[in-house]
Amino acid sequence: MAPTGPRNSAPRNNTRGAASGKSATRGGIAKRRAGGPIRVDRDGDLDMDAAAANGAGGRGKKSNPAPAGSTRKSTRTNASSSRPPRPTTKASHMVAKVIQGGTGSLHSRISQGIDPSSRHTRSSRPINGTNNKTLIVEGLQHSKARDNEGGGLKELLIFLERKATTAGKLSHSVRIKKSQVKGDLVYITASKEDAEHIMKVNGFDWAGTKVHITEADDQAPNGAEASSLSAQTQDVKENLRTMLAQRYDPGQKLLNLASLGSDSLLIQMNMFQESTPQKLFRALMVICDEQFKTAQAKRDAISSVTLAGNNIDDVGQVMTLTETFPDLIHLDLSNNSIKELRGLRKWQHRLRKLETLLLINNPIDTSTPSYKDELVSWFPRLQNLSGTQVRTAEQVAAAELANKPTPIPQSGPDFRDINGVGEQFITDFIRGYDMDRPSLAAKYYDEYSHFSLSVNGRSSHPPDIPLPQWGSYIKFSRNHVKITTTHARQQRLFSGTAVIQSVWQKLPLTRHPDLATQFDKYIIDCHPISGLADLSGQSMAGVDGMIITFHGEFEDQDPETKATTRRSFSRTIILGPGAPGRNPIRVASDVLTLKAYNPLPSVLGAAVANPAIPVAPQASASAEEVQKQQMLAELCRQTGMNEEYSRMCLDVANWVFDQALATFNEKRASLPADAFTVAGPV
Amino acid sequence: MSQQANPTVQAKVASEGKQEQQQEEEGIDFTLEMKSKTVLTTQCATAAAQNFVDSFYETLQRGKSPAQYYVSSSTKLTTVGGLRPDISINGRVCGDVAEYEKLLEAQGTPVHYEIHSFDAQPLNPGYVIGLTPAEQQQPVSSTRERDVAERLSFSVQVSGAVKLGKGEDVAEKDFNEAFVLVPHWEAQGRNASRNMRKWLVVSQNFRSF
Repeated sequence: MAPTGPRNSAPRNNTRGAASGKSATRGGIAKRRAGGPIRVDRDGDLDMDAAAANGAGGRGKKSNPAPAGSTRKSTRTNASSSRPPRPTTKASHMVAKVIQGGTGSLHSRISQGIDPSSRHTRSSRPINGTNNKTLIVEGLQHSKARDNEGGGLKELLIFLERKATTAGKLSHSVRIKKSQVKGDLVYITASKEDAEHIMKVNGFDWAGTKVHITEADDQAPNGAEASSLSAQTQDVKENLRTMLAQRYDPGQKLLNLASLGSDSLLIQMNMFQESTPQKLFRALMVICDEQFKTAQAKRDAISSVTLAGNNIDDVGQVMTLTETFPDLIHLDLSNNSIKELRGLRKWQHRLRKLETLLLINNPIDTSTPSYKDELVSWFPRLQNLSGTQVRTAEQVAAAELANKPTPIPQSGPDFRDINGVGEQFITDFIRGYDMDRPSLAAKYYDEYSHFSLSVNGRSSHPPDIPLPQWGSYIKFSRNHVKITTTHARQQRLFSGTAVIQSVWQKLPLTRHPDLATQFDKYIIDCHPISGLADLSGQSMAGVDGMIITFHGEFEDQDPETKATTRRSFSRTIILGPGAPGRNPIRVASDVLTLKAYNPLPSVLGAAVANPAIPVAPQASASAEEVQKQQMLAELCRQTGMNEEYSRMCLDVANWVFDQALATFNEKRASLPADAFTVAGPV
Repeated sequence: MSQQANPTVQAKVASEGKQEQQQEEEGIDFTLEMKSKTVLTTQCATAAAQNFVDSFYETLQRGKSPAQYYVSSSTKLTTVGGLRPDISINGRVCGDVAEYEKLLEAQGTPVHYEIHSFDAQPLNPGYVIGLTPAEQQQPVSSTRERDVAERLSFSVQVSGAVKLGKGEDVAEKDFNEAFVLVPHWEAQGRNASRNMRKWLVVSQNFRSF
């Protein structure tokens, strides 16, 4: 807090104090828009927690907008109004409020009549800021509304606003920002523009009298006691600041607010007669808050607070602590009167960085012995609870790491082929799509086959590669994000051999990397699927097939410009048994997505390179993975095949090692040379 | 899955509209009818895919369980049809939705899915897995879209980006995800809960890049 903290030299504090002292004298004119009736608690004190969110335009029943306006600058450090007051102002108000204590209650202020100017008044600061204008309205005193509850001020202001709006033929409503009754006169402040319109109401009849409006000179109504009060406020504030400074230990970054009740300075200041402890605490917190320009500066200066020995039985009494120090690390609440968890519940979702919480010698220890588990669950970083270690730093770090989102790890191809059908198809398909699309379509596609393509123009791409043109593709793109009409979606689904052939002919020619030698440029997954339409009409329940999703890249050549472009793609093809008399395998569905070129991650070695995949701890899965890795390594060793082929082989054999070995021996002759590692079989 | 069925019954099941019923009486074969349905089935598939994509990723984003999107949530599909969802996530095969959820949990929050493109195609307009033989033979009554949709399976491919974390820590990866969805029979009954998904995922393939 450090008024005397290393970063806060005394002179600077003095100037700040002076500044705040000055602003403490503001507030003579009420902020009408503060919103809603003033909430008053049972004792007649303002309810500090009354939200500032009540509807605008209301004026307290009690006719006294001035103190209301200033009081409503709530103690909340998180700004609840769109125009938060400057901190110094806030602190001064807070301090002023504390000083006034009981006598400052709304009740007592009301009893003094409607003239509030003896409370907070402006001294020398011009009311008319650059954009505001103050007007003096006469007539309230003689109006019939004088006897209304609230003295008729509310009615007068509503009248002025309404008439000014209609007189000016405005589309927006004229707004009176502040108002203050001073003797027979009413001072109102509005924007310059609105003030001009309000002037037009001059001479209007209202409540049995004529309203007379004149422009005020720059000086606002002045109260004689104002400066003395501000001096007193400033004095108290300075004293509190001194007290905080004395209780701050910059070495330990500790703010010691223990046993405030027996603080000699506070007793000397007569604070406990003047104010309630809660209000005093709020004032202290506001002063604290004011010392720091940034949240970081605050974190750097204060990491620990002790509130020991303050007779606290509910943290609601010191609620503002968590608003002023949300990042507090150590907190001592020992020797208080907290009886049950409920007394702490208000902080359940606060103080997320709390590592130490001391609750020694609180009644809760004996009354609710089980509270500790609950508290540990509230504060994710809590390690030291009343001197007992409840977590280690490592546990906290591990939990945070676990909470940090991490991408789902990559594994190798999930190629669950059936009798090599998928492998054969994909090889045939890629070659055919590059070399001879009409034949490819004739072989695998029939009149019930569907093909469509989508351009994903928003995919990520390496920064050094310019974004590709999509001219040759875009007119066919069926991207449902862009193509939203039923008609267009219908038009861009291509069904039947002939239609697919003709579309493919219009698409640029492509060259895919060779599947056998550049397998790392592909990711190919496939698995069986049931319930496909049976074109033979034999099986009503449908037939089994396979779904292949593969990702890769190709180069294409624009038919007109002959420019070549490299693109990435993802393609999902669903294979089923062919119709009678046709190729035994047919394509039921072919969905192609095109993207800007972006190299694929290497997944082939992924599972090997990173066996300790940080998947949620799951013994069975990881054990299975380890076993697979062992099988893979062993098959590589025994056959001399590289990892990729060994994996494919094991996949085919459903990870039964002997069967994989048998498959290898069976197919050995047909395997390409690059299936083997350079060293060859052992 | 190789139940033999009377071709006449089959034609009846698949028939749509009066014209086709007439054709059926003349003994038209099953495949022609299938083709004539393409227009309606395409509409159904794209609309259902849109609905699926809109809500599935929203569910994931909110960290809620996606279990309701899978065939495992349908008694008919699992017991009568013997189905279970085939979920392949970055090459890892998840035995069940719970295992997939574990992966999602390990991935953590906050997570945001940005859908750049998606596309859908009708797959089988006469999908009957999960129906009892008697139900399979109940004819689909009319040409109304809803009835065509009743027995439609379709495929979806989604392309987008998954963003992990927030603020400066955000890690972004492109992803591609392919699905096959099949009718949720329990959601189609007259008294079915409106909250049930009308289609359920039987196949899912996710890859991030």
